[in-house]
Amino acid sequence: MPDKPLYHLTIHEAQKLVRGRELSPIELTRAILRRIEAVDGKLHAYLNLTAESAMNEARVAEAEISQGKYRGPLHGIPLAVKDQLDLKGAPALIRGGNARAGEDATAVQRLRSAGAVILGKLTMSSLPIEIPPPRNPWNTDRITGGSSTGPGAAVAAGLCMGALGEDTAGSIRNPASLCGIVGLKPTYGLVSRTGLAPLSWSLDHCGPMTWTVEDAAHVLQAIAGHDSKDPTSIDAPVPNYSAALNANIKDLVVGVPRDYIEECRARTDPEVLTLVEQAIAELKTLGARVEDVKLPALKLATIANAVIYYNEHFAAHRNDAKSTIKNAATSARARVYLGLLTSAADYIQAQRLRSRVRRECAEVFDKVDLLALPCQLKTAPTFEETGPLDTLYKHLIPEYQSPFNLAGLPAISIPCGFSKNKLPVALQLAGKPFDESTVLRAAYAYQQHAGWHEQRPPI
Amino acid sequence: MEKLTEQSLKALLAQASLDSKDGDLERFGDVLDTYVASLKALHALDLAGEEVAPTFNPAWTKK
Repeated sequence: MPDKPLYHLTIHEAQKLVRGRELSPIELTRAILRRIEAVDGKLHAYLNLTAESAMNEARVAEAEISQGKYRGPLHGIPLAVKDQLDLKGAPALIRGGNARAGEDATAVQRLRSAGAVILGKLTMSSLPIEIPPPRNPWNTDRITGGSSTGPGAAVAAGLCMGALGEDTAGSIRNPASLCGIVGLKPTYGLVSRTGLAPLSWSLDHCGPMTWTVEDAAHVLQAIAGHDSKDPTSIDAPVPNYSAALNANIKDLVVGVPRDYIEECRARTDPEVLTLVEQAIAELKTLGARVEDVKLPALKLATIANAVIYYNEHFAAHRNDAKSTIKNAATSARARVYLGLLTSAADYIQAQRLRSRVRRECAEVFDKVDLLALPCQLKTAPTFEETGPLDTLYKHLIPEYQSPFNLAGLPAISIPCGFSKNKLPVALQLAGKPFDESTVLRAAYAYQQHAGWHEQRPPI
Repeated sequence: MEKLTEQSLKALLAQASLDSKDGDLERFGDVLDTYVASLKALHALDLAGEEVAPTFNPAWTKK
């Protein structure tokens, strides 16, 4: 048996034990539920814990595995999902009202098909109601970052072995970077959006949030692939992501968009820049060739992303606008006003910038395999330092995450060290469309070299 | 909030048969002004030669 608590096993470690029948899914699920009971009163990660059905699913997994019907690396593994994803029979607060989902989101169905045990729904920011915000397991006086706030806290603290998040303007990578976990926003179209409450149809991406890169590969493997119910889903073969992981990146060329980092430098914590520069130097040590690249259109990518986001969000939720203005939380009301202020001409101009960003990225990716840059402007601030409109301001001023929503490119947040006050900092790697394998391979090589994943939060 | 932004927002609210919540226009004035200034910066860029993305795909037949 492992020399650490079961709730601190990675998916990759646990699946080996489960497959070898050294660890029962029942025992594993029970350990995670006990962990939730012990610490979620402080962290507020879960909105809706479905403990009874999770235990039932664990019993089914146990029975299947004992009969030799092993489904794969997620079989019997306890996972959870952001509120934005439909879970059959569970309310979705993001959708407003008390309606319960009639079906699982496609990504959730695929986790279930892979044999995962679903623990329940995790909270998020941007909800129409005010709820206690999740606290950062590295320091509970600090925020997790949003909008996948619950997944960030839950994965970091061992309240699930992995989670599904959603990323419209950095909402997977932001909490991943602030909570010291791995967050992967896949290429647009790789993971189905069916059953995902829409924030912005052309920017929403569902993806894994996990403790390690191997775990992200396991979860992505289960959820990726064509879904005929999602018109934006791409019908293309899904590679074996785990098979692509190895520590050799000597054949890779990594581009560093210096001009864009300079654009953000004044707002970026110097400690973040130092640690990310060290991480990029370590990629070079590992054998990758590192060179500077220019992406001038990124300067306005954040605002273009916001224009598309607010416009599509307003269109999707137009019929709820009256009750949102009357009843909803501060940031939800502000989003309605921002959507109203966005004209068709603004939207089209933003889409034109999107074309330019895509074109510039395509030209750069003719010469490099990956882009490397910071993932966050700052480490996690305290609740006192944070206002209800901070996320909206973040969407209006150049930052590192939303350009890759706009371009639809895969991008991963991977821990690259700690600030002096012991808060996580992350490197971001972005890749070519549908080249998650290379993104994961480089992230894995860095993770294995740097070893930051061996440190757990003090909670 | 700048007067023009406030007037525009009020007109758009009226057009959509909506009312702002009491105090919201003052509360959100700065973020709305920041947004409007950002829109101006976006329009200052000459993007006339760019396609409007994402391209419409006539093969999208299913929902």
